Amino acid sequence: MNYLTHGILDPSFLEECLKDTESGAEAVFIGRVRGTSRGKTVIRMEYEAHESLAEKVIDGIVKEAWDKWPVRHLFLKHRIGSLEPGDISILISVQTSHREEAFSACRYLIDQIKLRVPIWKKEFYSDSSQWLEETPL
Amino acid sequence: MKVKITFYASLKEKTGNHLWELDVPDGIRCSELMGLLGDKFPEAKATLERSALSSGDIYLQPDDIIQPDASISVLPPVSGG
Repeated sequence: MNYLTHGILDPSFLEECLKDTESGAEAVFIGRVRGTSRGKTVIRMEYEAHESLAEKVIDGIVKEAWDKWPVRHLFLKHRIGSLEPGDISILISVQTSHREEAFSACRYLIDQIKLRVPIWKKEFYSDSSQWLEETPL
Repeated sequence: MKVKITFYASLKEKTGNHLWELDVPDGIRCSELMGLLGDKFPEAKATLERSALSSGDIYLQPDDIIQPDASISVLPPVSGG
């Protein structure tokens, strides 16, 4: 797997893997599990994916970002499995020469992933649970 | 002909299983398969109407014909990120 991981996502990893003195801007998006949803306390979140298809779709979205903006470096990982509130579910970093394209590419990546990638999450509350199925493919 | 159906997310719970092997008419189209699944799993019908199909890593269209022994994934609306 390139873009999906069952492991913990740690933003400090970005400091080690993305070093480029020509990149004047780095936009980072960190998505975390919220502790409250729909007025209920979330105790954990389960992420499930059609893994091979998700990898393919994310790869296509990443290539689109490379085509649309002058990206110098790009890092993207989406975690699947069981997460707790505060855990990072997705980590995106885009390095470019200037800030506008870094913001734009980073925003494009997270927006498209939420719309197009076959990943689902199930929220677990103290007394119930619920799949969140929001955007038809 | 037989096809393997894999349900994801809420559909695996509403249909009672992640993986099913079903007999379907030869030459059935994706839209017709969705109708059959809705009849077989009425509790899943509303979600099925908002779901997509894939074969392997390729999305299928409503008019696509299902091949014998195909492995079809049924993908409910997504919520990644």
